[in-house]
Amino acid sequence: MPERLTVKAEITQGIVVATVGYGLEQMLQEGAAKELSRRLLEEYQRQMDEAKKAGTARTGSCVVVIKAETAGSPLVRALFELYKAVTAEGGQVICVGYPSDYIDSLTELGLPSLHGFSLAASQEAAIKTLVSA
Amino acid sequence: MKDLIDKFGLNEVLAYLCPGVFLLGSLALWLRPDFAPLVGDKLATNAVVVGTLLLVAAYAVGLMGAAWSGQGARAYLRRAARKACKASVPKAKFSLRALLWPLLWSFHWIPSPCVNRSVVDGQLRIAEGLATFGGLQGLTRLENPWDRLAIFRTIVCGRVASRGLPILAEAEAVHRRLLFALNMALVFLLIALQALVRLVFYTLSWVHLLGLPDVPIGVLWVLVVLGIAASFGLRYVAARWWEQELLLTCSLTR
Repeated sequence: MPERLTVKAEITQGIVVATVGYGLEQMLQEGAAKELSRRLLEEYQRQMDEAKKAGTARTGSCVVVIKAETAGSPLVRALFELYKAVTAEGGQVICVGYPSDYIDSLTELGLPSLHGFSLAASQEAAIKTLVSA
Repeated sequence: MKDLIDKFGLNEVLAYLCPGVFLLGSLALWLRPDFAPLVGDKLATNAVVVGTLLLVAAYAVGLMGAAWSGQGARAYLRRAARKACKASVPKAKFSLRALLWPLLWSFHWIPSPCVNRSVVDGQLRIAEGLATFGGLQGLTRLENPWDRLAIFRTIVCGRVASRGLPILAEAEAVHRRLLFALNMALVFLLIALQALVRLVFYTLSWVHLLGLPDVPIGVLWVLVVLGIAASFGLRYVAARWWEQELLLTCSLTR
């Protein structure tokens, strides 16, 4: 698992797939929520702009793949900010690989109950859902 | 009584002692009160000794009831949130949890606040506040959502401006009412279930066989119907107080 905060995005089958990696330290740092939100939104917007220019954007939806063993409110805040941006584009967010030990904390905050946000077991399943939508 | 309330605190009396008294009282469905084997013939007629014993026992029973109520509500809300969550994670076709769900629902169902962006944002601000002021991330075994709100208020009470103090006080009062309503809801359901079992025993003519005290069948029916109605009614009331507490506490984060 990465010890540094990494946010990378690419277009797969016309869908933005953002991969987020971080270590425990990133979750504990002050301002982690802002930094993670900013990086995730920037990557999403950049990929969407490029896809729109190239005409390859299928939808405004985004798959977020989490590569980490821990989670916390900074990650939930970043996902929530991304959710707001994505739904403004008429898309939906599917989160893959959310650390299983922390799923209860996520569901209690209500984010997965929002229309347009869901969890998936794998990246392939998430893309398949969005392509067939 | 005033001294007692001062010593215990209103929260203790409302949330623990009252449900304990009701639950202990429901033992009259099964036992004839006789304290002689416990404290001896002489003390069994002493109202102060018997009263104190009953009070301590009721408080202990109330504490256990409150722990059950809290733990049960937590289990129900987590399970309900997981069910509402659109996770396509593979699930076992048959599991003990699925079997226990109706039981969990009947004992601990409570309407959750309608989830929308503002509610998620508010709850997230509370979680961020806890992480910022508490300095810990990823505590996954914190109690119920309302307990989290109470912890948040405890942490921020020294930081809020004077205009926030009435909000803090009102949120605490609402929290007490919420706990009381939930504990009483569980107690009323337990009383209704006991009365239902007594009705079954009555139908099977086991009452005299087991040496149970005589309780009129009409009283048992009243206990069943009113117990269930009061239990589910109180959960609706508790849900309203939960929303009020959430609103008041979220207002402290702005």
